Amino acid sequence: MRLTDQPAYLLHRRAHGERSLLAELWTRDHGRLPAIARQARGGGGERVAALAPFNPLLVGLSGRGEVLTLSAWEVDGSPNLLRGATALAGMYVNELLARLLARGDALPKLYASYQRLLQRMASEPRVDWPLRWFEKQLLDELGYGLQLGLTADGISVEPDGHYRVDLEHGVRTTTAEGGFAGSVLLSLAQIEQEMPTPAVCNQQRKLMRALFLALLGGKPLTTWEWSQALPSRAS
Amino acid sequence: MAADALEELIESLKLLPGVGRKTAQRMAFALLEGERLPAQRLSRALAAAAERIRRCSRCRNYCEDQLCAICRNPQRSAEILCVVESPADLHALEQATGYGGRYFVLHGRLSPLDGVGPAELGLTLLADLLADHPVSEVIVATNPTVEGEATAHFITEIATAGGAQVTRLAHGIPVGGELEYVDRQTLAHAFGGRLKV
Ligand SMILES: [Zn+2]
Repeated sequence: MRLTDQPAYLLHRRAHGERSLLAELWTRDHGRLPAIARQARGGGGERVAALAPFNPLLVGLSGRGEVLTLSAWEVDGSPNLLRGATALAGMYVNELLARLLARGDALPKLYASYQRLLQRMASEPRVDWPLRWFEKQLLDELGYGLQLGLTADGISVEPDGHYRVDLEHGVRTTTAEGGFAGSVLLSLAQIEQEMPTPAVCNQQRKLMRALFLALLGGKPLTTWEWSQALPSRAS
Repeated sequence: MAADALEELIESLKLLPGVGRKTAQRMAFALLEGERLPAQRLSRALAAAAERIRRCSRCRNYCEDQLCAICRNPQRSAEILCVVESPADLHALEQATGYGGRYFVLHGRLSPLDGVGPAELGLTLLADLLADHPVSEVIVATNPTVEGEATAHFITEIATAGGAQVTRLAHGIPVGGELEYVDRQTLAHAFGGRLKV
């Protein structure tokens, strides 16, 4: 495989030996690809700084087998500066993508959504809305899109009703307290157009977390556990 | 089975940052030259360091006692706490600034896919420290990377909950640099963090 000037984002990087980096890349046209950037560490501090999460990159990749060689990279356009809580939220999204995206599986529509997510997170006062919006896009693009306005039995979801949601059965009515309010589901169905209140968004966060936990085979994300340690809770 | 002593020495030297096989070989032969005094001295120093050096119970800096020299020094202000990623960063600040407060050393930065979280960085200890000994200012001196930013956010939350004012190191154009040659990220950071004059 040989790619030049391929749009990509870095999901994660770690030291590989003394001088090299192992980069987990999400390329626009070839999906998630791990690659080694040789001799990237030490000396060229500026060059290695460009190979950072959230920067829109153009990369050159070559090689065969599991791990490719990252031969070139540059920042294409203006870097997305995520600060404070937003940086943490961005790390959560990257961990989610690194765990859920299959290697080599291109999802160009989701890639475009990710670009928009980063721009929104860098510019909007609230990050929870763009986060929930992107999570929904992710589920849809992975093939787990949910019909949130209807129950599995074809009955309209009522704002005051209570519902259980899972990936296998979709939305089902529940009598017990502890389910999600219909208004939370209806708001999620409209998340593209309408900003939910922070309280509704928080319910949607819990719903998404439960759905993703199932997709992750029950093994939670590290960043979920971190938020327990925060005096006030992010994402 | 005991490993070949020379080979074991070379392999051990390769653990040092920046040392490959060739350099490790050169070092090993230099150490074994002549009277072997350098080798014996190094071996004693390493054994003593491995035995005695531990983390300060208050700030996690390296030291030989319960508390490090900075935490024990009555001249240093207990009112200001500077949080750094590594002992090397602490050393750099000590050399470059006239800072007179205390430190807290994280020994890393948040990295989800490497399993480095708040617990590994001693953030519970930091929260307890700020609760037991409130300070007026916490200086967050993590690196201007994404991981450093996320780490800074955690510390800011903990420090604010502890009633401290939080400050960050400014990042921007290197002194003596020219805009045209500064990389985009640094320039974007410097532009975003511009100051009123
Ligand atoms: Zn100390």
